[in-house]
Amino acid sequence: MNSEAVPLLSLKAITKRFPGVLALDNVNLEVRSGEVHAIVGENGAGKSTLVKIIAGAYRPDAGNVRVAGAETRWKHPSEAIAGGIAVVYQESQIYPSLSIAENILMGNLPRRRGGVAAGIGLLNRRTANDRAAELLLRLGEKTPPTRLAGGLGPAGRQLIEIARALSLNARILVLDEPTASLGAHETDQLFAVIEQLKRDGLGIIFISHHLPEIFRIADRVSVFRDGRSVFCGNTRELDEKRLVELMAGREVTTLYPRHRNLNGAPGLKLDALDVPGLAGPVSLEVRSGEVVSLAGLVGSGRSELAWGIMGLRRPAGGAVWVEGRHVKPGDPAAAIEAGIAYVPEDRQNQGLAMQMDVEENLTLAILKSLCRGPFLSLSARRNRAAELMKRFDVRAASIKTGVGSLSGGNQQKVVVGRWLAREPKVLILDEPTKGIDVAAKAEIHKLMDCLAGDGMAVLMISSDLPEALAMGDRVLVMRGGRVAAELSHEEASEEKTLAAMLGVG
Amino acid sequence: MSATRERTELSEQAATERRLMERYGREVSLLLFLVLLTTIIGVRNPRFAGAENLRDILLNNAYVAIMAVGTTMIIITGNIDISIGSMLAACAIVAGRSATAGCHPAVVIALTLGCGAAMGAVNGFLVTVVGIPAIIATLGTLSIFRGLVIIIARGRTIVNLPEWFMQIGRGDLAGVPFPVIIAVIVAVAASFVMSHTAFGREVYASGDNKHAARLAGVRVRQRVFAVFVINGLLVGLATLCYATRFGQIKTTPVAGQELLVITAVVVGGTDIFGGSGSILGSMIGVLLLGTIGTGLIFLKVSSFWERTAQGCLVVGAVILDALRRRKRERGF
Amino acid sequence: MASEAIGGGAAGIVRRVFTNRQAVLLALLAGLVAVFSQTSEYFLGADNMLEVTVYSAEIGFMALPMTLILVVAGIDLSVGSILSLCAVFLGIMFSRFGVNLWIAVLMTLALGAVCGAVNGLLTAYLRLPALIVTLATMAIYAGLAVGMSKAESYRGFSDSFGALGRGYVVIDGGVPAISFAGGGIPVQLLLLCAFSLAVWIIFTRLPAGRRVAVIGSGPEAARCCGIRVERLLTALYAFSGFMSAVAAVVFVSRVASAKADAGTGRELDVITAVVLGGTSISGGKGSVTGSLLGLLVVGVVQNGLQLSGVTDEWRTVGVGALLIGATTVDRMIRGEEV
Repeated sequence: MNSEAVPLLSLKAITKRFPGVLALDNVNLEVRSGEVHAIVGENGAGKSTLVKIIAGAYRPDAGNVRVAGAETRWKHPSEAIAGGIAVVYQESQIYPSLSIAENILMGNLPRRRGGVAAGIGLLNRRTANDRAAELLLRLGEKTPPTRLAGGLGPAGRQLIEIARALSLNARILVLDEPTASLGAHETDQLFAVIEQLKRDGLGIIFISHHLPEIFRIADRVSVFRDGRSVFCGNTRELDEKRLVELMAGREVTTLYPRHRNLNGAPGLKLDALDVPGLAGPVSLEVRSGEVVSLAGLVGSGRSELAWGIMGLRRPAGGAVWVEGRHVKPGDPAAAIEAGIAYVPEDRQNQGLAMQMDVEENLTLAILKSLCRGPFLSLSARRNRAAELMKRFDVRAASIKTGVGSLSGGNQQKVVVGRWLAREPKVLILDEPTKGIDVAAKAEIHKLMDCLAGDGMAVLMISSDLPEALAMGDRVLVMRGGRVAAELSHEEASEEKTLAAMLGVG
Repeated sequence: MSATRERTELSEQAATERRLMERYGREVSLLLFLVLLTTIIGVRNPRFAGAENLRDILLNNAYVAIMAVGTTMIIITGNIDISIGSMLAACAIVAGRSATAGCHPAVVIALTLGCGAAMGAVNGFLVTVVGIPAIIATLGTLSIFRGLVIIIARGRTIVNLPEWFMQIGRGDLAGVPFPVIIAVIVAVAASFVMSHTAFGREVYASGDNKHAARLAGVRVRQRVFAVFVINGLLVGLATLCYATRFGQIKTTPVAGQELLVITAVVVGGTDIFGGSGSILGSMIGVLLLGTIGTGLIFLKVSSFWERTAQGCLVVGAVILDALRRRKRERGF
Repeated sequence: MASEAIGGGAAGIVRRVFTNRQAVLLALLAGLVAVFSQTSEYFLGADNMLEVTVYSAEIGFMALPMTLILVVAGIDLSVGSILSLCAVFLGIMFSRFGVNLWIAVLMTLALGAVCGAVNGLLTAYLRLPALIVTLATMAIYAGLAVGMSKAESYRGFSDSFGALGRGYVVIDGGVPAISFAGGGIPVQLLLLCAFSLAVWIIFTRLPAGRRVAVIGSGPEAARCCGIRVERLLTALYAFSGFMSAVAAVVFVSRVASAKADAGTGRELDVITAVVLGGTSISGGKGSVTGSLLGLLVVGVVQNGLQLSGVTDEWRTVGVGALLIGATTVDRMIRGEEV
């Protein structure tokens, strides 16, 4: 076929460098007309950078992008749009104060025709609303397009993104994690649309962490690792296990260490803690020396519970006890003083002071102990930071390196190191291994095991089911803002846990 | 999943009911407050609510209103322009000098508007091309324009203005002063552009979410630059309504005008972080501030207290906003 | 590391030096001094050099806390108005109510702190944007100053009080003494140095100061670290008010009269100096030494142009151009995307 000869989109030897990071290293990619080409890879593998290059938002440092054989030099996303590219971005980009219709059609709002009206760019609101409603209907959504987008939940925002891309009648459609916040019904609807577009001859790039989706929809798949494209082949010839191996770069034989001493006293105890945003009061207990996993879907209230325990969100009632002592509610400083440490999911915003260096970040929680009299001892701080850096194997040029230039794994080690320097009694980890490489992941697991072995009470929120099941001495499953099930390590199988997460069976 | 669906549908109903209040709540409550204020002062001193005085309030605030239109647009893009007071003074010199030099009215008007637009373009250039934060860039141009004004005018008052020139500020159409008519036309036109043209909606989008707008293909920098130029143009127009009212033009820049305008816009409900706000709200804000100013005189309160009253109004308005926001957040 | 610097050659060194805002300012300062020493014979005199600092001390008092406030991505537009209000308050307490002068000074300092704390409470606890809050309180405080004084000015301050703003410390027969005739170190400069040192120590060597830096670098991270963000912010704004009151006291002492327009427009000078010093208006980055350098540059420009016979107005233009120029150069060197 003709399309075999000239691919719809071809990227040749793309390289993109950011200060301190080589985001893309000599990457090639081809998308043919009428195919769905999936891209998989761990977080930080370079997928999002690639998407932004295709979208014209970044310019590559080297290499070129060709559409139907013609070389492009886009300087602005609008040029890429004109060139037939439509992108659904991973982070839903919406305008909260504008209507849904305007959100979908922004940049391409329908104008009135003829005369003065066209001259001043007068809008045709009815056409806009009709067109938006039609696009949403294709995705099975019936929300009136005149509503403000700010009131929509994550699924609604995601649908806006998808409808926006569809509205462009593009030749090439890039979908970056389009199903992350969609329900099963919306996902089915989206896949039906994708099948239709495929028949219409579009080239589609589909990025997802959800491997079953890849096998369901994609014709070919490229695997990205550390900014390189390490594999490209037909989906038919692969299975999930092989794909995971390709992503990880080795055979996956993760060992989750478990050396526990399970007869500890209650380390953390929640007594009917009523956190706003949850369905009701939560009571639970984590004994000293125990690792409890908190499983559940995104949005099931796990992080909210952690915020409630830490006092980052003021509880409406109930109490938190650490080793039998009551913790003043709604005050993070009191929680920390009582011996709770929290490693948040959002490292960049909540975990780190991004514009500061490793030294300051590592010593943030122990400033008081580094003072001589009222003054901070710079030498004591330097020594302590160096020591922590070594102990937690943070790989950075020096303690003066800015945390922003560290890899995800090393950033996480800085956050964990900061808290462990305080020798807390309770450690709450929120998605501790999200977006970090396999080696750093194993180190964090080992560290957790050691800490529990030394008698710390560990509460780990994890969406990585194998991790949650293997690390947890117990698995608590949250659903719809409440703890829906409690499973012991032995009974926590993947099927059982999933069933509890989804509320089936 | 079904649970979230149910919730969206339920909140949808409530949202439709809330929508009108949400979109126009600020304008409605401000208007009520304005009426209440006028009534109270009117009861204490009936002359206040007389046609004569109301006309004066409108006339005195016409030029503020025109500048507030530009500032509203600037703030909607997520920027700010604190140099407008200096720009007003600069435009006044251009207008006065060219008028006394005997230029044709059309030339005078064109020069004044052009002077404003040029200064707006300088600000726009610094913000969008050089990439200096708007508050810093316009803080710098505030000093520069101000200094240049004094250098050029040497503090001399411009007198002997031609009759036609003063007619702009003093004339009226069926009893409505020209400046008021101009202000109303500008406000209506700007409202229309902001809500019914692609340009206007793209300006909102640029301020609401700059990155999203760029990715959607909106030329954000061009839009922001255009708004700065429009703002300059409107300052020029405001000059024509302001400098023409008193037979002479004082060339020392009046400090603090930019703050009065920004205050009016903020009271009118425009979000200082960009993305939302309305011209209508700003117009009511201008009227409210003007009414308070005049009202104090009628209440025999020393005008020394005017700024205190204005400041309290802003604090009150933003605190109400914060409380309303908090209530809405709790609703989720 | 050393070999890297050598390998980078001259260009590398230049780039490294000039990415540093303070180095740019020092170079600029050197250039300005070179130019002004040619245009005016008085410029390089010791007396004049000290004069420069007197010129900027009152701005400097307010620039110190403003630096920290910009670091936490806030802003305080009300500093000039607080200065006015405090000056008027001092005048009223002393002249109208006959309060002992030094007690009146203490009351004034307390009033400044309260004014600042109001800003802090509104921004930190109600989460209102600092720009709006301080824009409003700027009007309120200035209005109160005008309203309380009815635009009158207060005089009759004692000579000993004048020492704060007009005095010089001279060594007279081995004993430090206050003179009004010059020939020593201005008291204002000593005060500014003392406060600068204190703020520098607070910012770099006290846990509270480092916590302020953390808030600037990531407010959410700060909260997660157990930093009482609201309390600290309120204290910061209160400190800003306090320093405005200090500036008010020094100002009243210098001109021996208190009037409601004492602080009008000062906030812009303060912000100009701080931003010139390299503190980012969008938070996260800033240094006390940078602000002092920025202050010195503004002072030198103003003083040098004055001595060179340039009118006030050109000085205004000069400072504005300097602000834009320095920010532009900074942008270009760092090559940041907008």
